[in-house]
Amino acid sequence: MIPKDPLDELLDRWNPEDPDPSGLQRDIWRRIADARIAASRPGFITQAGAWFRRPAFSLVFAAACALAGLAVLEWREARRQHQVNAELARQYLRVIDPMLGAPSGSDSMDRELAWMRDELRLTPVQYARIRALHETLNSQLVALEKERLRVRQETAALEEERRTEGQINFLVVAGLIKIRQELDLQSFHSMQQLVSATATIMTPEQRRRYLDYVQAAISTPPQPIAD
Amino acid sequence: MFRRPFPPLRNPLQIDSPVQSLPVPAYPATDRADLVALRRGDEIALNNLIERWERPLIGFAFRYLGNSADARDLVAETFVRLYQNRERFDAESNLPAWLFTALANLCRNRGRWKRRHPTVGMDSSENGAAAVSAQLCSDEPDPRAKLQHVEMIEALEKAVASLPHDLKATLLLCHYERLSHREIGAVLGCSERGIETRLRRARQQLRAILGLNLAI
Repeated sequence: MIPKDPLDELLDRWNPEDPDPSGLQRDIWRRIADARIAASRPGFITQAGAWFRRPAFSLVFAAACALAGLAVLEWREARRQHQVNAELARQYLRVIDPMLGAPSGSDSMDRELAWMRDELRLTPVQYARIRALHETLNSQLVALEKERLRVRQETAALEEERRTEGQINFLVVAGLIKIRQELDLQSFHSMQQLVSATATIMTPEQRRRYLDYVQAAISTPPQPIAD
Repeated sequence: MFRRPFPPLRNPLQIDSPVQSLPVPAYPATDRADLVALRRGDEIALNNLIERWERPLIGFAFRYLGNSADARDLVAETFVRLYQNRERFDAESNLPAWLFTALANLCRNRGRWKRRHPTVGMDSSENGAAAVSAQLCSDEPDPRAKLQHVEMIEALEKAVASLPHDLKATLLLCHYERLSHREIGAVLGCSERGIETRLRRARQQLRAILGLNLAI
């Protein structure tokens, strides 16, 4: 008789107690039911396809998309216009504040005030009155700027003299500084008056937005010159 | 998925192996009838198939994975897939080959997943040690021989678990499910010669591992 392979003997002796299969049928049918429920739930693409097969829904969806697109375009255009107006408002501040730059001539007044008409939605009457106010003040501002230019030139000449001759007349320098301070203060008050007068022509909402733009310029008085 | 025709299972009465364990039952006519009924929508037929095949499948999965909960889970999943694919079966389909193919693939995937996510299960060696301790404290004769037997079986379990999928599945299907080399080849997608080679390599590896382990 052929002796049995020890490995086969060992394999034969490996007879673990199989797990009890009771309840397996119930588990299988439960899983099948779960799979059926999951399969019966239509996916997003299937549902969307079903909706788009309805002509009415397709039309409404297309119209909604077109309207949404137009709304986005409108919003972007308004945003761009607002940025342009903000830049023009900064230019306006330079017009009414001689300390920020040179006042422009009356020929460019319409261009300088166009932003205000658009952004604050001024009526023609309001715009005409505001324009007249600015034209009146503009001549004062031009005079002030000329005076500031003269003082600046004199100061530059004194500086040149100090550099070349090594001496300086302190009394003259002190006089020029005082004149510059007076000019700055005068410019500041003129600008405040202009803003105040302009604001009275506007409605409360227009006034609020106008003052938002010019607030920084009118709330900071000129600082004393430190030499 | 199951597409190619599987060879029919041999009659268990013709098995000439000296190993005395329960072979895979072969009821080709009954299986075919149940598959046809299932395909027609008779859901009772699935219950018949479950009753007929649950034990061999659970036995295979349990030896493969060493975990009863996983074995039950994968066998249940195999029958769910059988139900979902019932339209693909015809009178010539080899149900046992399909079942073992599906289950072996599920076992391989679960084994891979467990290697990446190691945990300590209910069937761990700690429980085994408690069982051994209880047995040794009993009034049964020769506890030393019993302990030696338990240790050898544990060593065998670990050795089988360490085999690669192809060798492990081949060994389990051949030795415990009594499938012929041709049938195992149909399950694992391999030629009969290939199955012979795999079986030889599986036994060689087991001898090598167990020789080391048992010598301790």
